[in-house]
Amino acid sequence: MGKGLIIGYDLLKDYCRISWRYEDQEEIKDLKLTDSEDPYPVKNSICKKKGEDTWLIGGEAYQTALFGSGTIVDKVLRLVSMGGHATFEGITYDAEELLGYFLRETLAVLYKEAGMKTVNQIVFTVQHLENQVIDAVIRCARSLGIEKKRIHVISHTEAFLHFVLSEKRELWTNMTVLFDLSQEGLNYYSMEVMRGIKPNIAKAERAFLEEGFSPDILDSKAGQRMADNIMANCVERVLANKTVSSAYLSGLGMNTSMQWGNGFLKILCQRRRVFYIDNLFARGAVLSGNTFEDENAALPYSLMCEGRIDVDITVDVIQGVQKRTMILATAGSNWFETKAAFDFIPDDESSLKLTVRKLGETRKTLLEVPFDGFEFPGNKLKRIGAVLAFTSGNSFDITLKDKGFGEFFPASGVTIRRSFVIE
Amino acid sequence: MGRYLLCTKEADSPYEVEELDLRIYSIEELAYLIYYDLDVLPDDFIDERLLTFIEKELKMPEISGKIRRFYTSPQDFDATVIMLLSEVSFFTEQEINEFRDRIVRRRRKSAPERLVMRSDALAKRKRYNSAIRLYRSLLSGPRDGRMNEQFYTNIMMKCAACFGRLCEFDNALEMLFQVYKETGSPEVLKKLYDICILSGKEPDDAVFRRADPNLLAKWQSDYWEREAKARMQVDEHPAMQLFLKSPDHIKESLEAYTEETKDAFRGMLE
Repeated sequence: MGKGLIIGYDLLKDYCRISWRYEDQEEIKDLKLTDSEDPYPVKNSICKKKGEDTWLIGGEAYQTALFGSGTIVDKVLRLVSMGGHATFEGITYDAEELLGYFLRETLAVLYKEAGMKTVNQIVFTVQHLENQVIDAVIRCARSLGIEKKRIHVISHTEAFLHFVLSEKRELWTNMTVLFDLSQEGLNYYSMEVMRGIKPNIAKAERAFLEEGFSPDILDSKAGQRMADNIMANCVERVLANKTVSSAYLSGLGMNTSMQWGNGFLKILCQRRRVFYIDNLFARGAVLSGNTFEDENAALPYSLMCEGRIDVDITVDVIQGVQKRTMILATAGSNWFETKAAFDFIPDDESSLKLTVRKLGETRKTLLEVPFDGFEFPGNKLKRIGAVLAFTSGNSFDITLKDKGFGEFFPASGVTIRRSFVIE
Repeated sequence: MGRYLLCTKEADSPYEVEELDLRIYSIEELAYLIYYDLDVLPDDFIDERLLTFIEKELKMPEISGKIRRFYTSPQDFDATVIMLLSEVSFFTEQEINEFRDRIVRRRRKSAPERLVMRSDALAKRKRYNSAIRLYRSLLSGPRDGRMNEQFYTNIMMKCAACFGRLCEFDNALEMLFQVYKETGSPEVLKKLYDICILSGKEPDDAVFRRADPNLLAKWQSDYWEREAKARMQVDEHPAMQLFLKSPDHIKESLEAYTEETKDAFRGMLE
């Protein structure tokens, strides 16, 4: 039993999957609330017992609600992304509060199974990186006593990347793909390592397959046949002319694909290995936790995927008596964790010039933020505070604040903000 | 081609420059102070208080360490400040060379001349009382044989100007009268006359009886003309527009203006 836990939460709008491991052990365990046939997905539902400050999850929540002893709210994460709320016995709770209760109760189960409560890293993985959801998840985890530096949010694409890279190399020599089915639909993921360029890049992408289907149709034979046909068409289309080393299936209904999907499996299994993985994204999240926990465990690749920026942003400065290139953003970093702040004094400059270079490319782009609105009492007589923060995977804001020059020339309070989109 | 100077950490507790009632928060401001206000700084400026500030507040022990090694006596002052400016990227090599030349020229001045430069710098920064103290110390102490009478007369004129800025007209008149007694200069007589009018005092017969009445009439006319112009400028001053605004706005603006003026005046009296 190790020093702490590394936990992965795959949070979908209506359910979640949780995996974990001890910090000093490699084996990843999947958390289950029950021993039922499909134990791993935990519905994002929270039930409050009537007249008590007791919150329930899983089957117990539904049972309590069914017997009228409690009130249940489904799809808590969907509620969070809508900024919604729910009322229990006349008291209104924000969606974020309910998410907090949900996390608390699921973590309680995990702590009991693990026999400890020390969290080294907790990584949440979501299909869409929405600011509201990211902030809510982080705040909830913090309210449960977990330090901010130990809380991370990554995309499903990134979790998939980490999962594949942890597998045997022969499985990802060429492209690796994943078909994931959820109530949101069918998503196709692809991953490959781009060699021959410095640094080596591990790239993953996600595409929503419009022709997808709901897992609910698998309840009937006719639905299963339709699902098999749709999958066969998707597989043929997306994998045409591609060399794929391995394929993965995950999500609702995919665990029984051998019963309903003989058609598409026949196509998919040609010259490649195919796996169904329970909790693929949650496991990928746990594996990504390794890289946060231990710098030496960092992957020898720059990651290019949803949630990670694919540019380096730098500015040339004079520090002390030396010229240097200061890095403001590094390709492969999480966009919502990428923030740089520094103070500088412009010498004979009327704008801040930043250099942007895309990962894997040699071409550089120069971006400028003019000092319009700043009044300079003289050259070098203004200290400017600069903050760079990404607002999405391909856009960032630069904010410049006039800090004056001490008591010689007081600050005006003027602020300049510019937004940039990276093409 | 321009450049960006990466700033160092700002101090939580600033360094107080008492002579200027100024607080320094960064190494760049310290460099600026040394470069532009060197004349104001006392010879014992480099002391333990400064070095502790650089080391502990600015978190630059390498610079404070270098200064400790460099500065072994007041004679090392010039070389030390040049070294300090070179360590900070605020000034270019050319600017530091110009500073070096200035400091060499300054060093060639006599002690009284350097003291006058310091007083002038304080007066320029509106630290009038501080400037007056230094001017008076030069006038009241033993005269330096290397300096001629003109030197001391100039000091008295500068001292009088500072008194005038503080509206201490009696002191200003006393100083100017002394200068007039020694030099008989018409320019000084005119200044005496202007201050009399400004302060509402009757021009002293003993001083002005020998003056040309036509000249006195011209001076009076010049004064009235200047006064009329000043009144017009007051009416056009942006501050007067303030009174056309709402009472709340006036109150807020006057409070801010009063604070600003009080601070400035407080500084003049230091």
